[in-house]
Amino acid sequence: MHKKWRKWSSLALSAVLVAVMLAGCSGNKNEGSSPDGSGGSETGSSQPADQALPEVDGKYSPEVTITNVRTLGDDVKFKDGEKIDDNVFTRWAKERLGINIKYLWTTPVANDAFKTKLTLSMSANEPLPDILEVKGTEAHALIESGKFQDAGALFDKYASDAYKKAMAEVPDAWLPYMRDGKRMAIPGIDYIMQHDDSMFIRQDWLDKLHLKAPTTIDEMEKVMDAFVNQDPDGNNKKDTYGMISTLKDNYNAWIGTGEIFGAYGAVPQIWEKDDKGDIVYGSVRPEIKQALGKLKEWIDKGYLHKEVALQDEMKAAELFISGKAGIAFGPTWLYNWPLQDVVKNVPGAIVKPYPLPAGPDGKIGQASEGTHSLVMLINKEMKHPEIYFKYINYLYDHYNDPEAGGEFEYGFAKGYDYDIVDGKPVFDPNIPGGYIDPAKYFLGIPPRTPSQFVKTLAELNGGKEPATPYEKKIAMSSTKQQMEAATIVVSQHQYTLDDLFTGAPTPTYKDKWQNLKKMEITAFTKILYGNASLDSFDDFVKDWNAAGGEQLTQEIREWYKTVKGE
Amino acid sequence: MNKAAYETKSGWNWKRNWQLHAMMVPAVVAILIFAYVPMLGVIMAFQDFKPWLGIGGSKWVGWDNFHKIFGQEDSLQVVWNTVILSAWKIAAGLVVPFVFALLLNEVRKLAFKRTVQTLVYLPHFLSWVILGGILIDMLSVDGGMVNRFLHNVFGIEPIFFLGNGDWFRFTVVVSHVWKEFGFGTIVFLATLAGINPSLYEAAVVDGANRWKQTLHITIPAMMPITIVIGTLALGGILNAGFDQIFNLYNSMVYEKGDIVDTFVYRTAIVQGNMGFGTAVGLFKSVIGMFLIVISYRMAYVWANYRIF
Repeated sequence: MHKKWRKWSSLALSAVLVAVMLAGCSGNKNEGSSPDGSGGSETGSSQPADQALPEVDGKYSPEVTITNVRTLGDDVKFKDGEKIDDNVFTRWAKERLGINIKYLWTTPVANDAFKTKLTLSMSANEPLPDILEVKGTEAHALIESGKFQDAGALFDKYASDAYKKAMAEVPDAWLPYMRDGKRMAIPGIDYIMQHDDSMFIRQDWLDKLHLKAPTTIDEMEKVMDAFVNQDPDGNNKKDTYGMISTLKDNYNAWIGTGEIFGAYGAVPQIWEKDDKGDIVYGSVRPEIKQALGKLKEWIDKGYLHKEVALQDEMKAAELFISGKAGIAFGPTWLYNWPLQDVVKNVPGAIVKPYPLPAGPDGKIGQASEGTHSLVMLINKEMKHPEIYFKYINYLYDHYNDPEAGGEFEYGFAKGYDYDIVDGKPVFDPNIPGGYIDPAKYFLGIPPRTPSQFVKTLAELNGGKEPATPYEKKIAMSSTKQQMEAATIVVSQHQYTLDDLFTGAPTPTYKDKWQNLKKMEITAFTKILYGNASLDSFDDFVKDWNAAGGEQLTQEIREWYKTVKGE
Repeated sequence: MNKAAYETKSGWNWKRNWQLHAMMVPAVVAILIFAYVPMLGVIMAFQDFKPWLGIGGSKWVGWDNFHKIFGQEDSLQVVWNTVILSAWKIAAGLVVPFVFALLLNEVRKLAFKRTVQTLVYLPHFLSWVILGGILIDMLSVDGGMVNRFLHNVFGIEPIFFLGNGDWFRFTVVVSHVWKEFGFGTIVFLATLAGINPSLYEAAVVDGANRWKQTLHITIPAMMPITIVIGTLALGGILNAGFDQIFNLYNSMVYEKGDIVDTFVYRTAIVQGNMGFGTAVGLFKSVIGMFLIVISYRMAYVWANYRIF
């Protein structure tokens, strides 16, 4: 009897296991589709598509729903009880505009979870959200899927004047998404020049060694020589470097080296126009050879760390932060993070931004970060795309450059990104309940006017009294170095080169690009470390062209012609 | 032969044992769902796979993806790098734990033995992302721990471990062995514990010393498991450890350190070319299967050993 019971119980256990497992599988599926199990767009399903949605006092009545998907990073913090589909922002959208925001699914940021989830849900034929924001480089495949509508036409029809004006500042932002004359996605335009570089120098080292900030590559060499050989940190050891740099694979990283090349007249790793006005790949232009020779000399002389080809940006920045290096090229925000830490680590350290140095022929140059990194796609199934525009227009009209006394004068919501104490507005870090950024909850890509941020910084640095609420906020939340850097990048903006190829991968690009890139970086590193002569650069250019580079250049020129209509 | 005996011999006594078979069902179902159903995905190797079209709707491209594998200028170099790195890793990954287990087995003090065993096992749990950063610091030419030690003790000029192709391979193999040999040791120690003590007693009676005992009892007893591990490892010869290489390699050592997986990462994963990625995966599996079959056969012929 006992034995029999044991048999039966184990059998029952295994049955339960099977059941649990199967339930587990189907459970995942449910979770994948939608919080309440329905999913998909039900926007205005009761309304015929060609009829305008009824509005009362500027809000939709009855309320409408817009669906979206998004990542939820650690930077998205919530107040007690709030969550991504019920918070100060979603309540605002509901009350102000009559729009319900619904997330079909959310993913963490790590491990490309968003891309994986999107791919899986597409291959499982699950409904796509009404609007979908992705990285610009990932949009090409999605446009190819044919599941999204002509966003440019919608933009022309529904975008507000403020939004259109902002977009008109960077007309080339549309180029990557042009298909047969249609603009298939709306670029999520960002502040321009924000990522343009200036030269940050340890001012206290310059002062100690009685040097002036360099304005040319020659002067920069002398300064670096002093930084390396005259013991600027005063510890009687030769343990300092002239400049930090990363030559691992991206020469235009946020710790930049492209500026050195730019001083000789060509910026590597982007597609730029040569002297004749034809599009060429920067890395194969003859000017690169001179710059490589110079960098090799600097590595040999110890101006650069011997392991620049191993270091990523953070490893390189560590040298600066720990007080071991004197010069860094980087964007306007580089002082705020991470360079500022050097002040904590080294008593008396002062960092100051300076203009980019000029080369022997007076040339200056650097690569631009582009106008945007995210892009918005609009689902073909979305019957009333004007809902999205109503929302984004409102933010462009009222939030981006808020009017004094208006709804968003101090920020988005009291008790979140600002508070009023004794009748005066207070900001991070003085908010009694702690700072929470409601902009992190915004639907889609945050609205930004390209010319806004950096120009304002530069104007404030130039002595302008902050007048508008926006200027006041910027003045309070920026460092002196950031403002000075802004002035510099505005004055040197004409030297910033855009990467002219932003389109979908061409056939040769798909097949050969990785190989060409590897070829390039291997050849350059060999030259920098003396494993190949400087003249081997000419062989590299020949090999690069033969291995598909020439054909790729043709294809990219063709593409540029079609989108620019030249 | 009576009925009961017959049934026992055939091994299919359903009436008496069906509950036992039923207990296997969860495992079988799990394997079907998680190991066999996904295998259908290899179809993608012959497609220009687009997620929104699915496996059913994507375009068939025949052997195109495979042509692409061998059409790349550096694919041969990459395969060759992979095989060399893996071969060294497999060899060192067998010999080091084997010898270490033998040595540890001679330790009489149990507490010491246990401590050492745990300590060498620990690195197995560290991720290469963390170790990558640590190694780059430790092996730095400029004040790195290892180079300082070599310089102070032996007067050797700093070695560019991660910047010179040959030293890079050496570093990869040594750091792999350091990270994993503790794990391998456990398997060998378990085998050692399973050797019948009466064999040693008989050997002592015959006058064999410690060394002779090791040579004629311990080592032969460990051969089967060594062969199993070696055989199975051969199946993975085209896996040279993506995590490790990806976190340590750089443009200076591409020529000797770029492996199949990092190559696929750059050409297939980053560019979202899933058909190509699957084709490489399939190619690796086929090679791996051939090697396993061959080495299994060799193990049978030479060592008279069969796993199944």
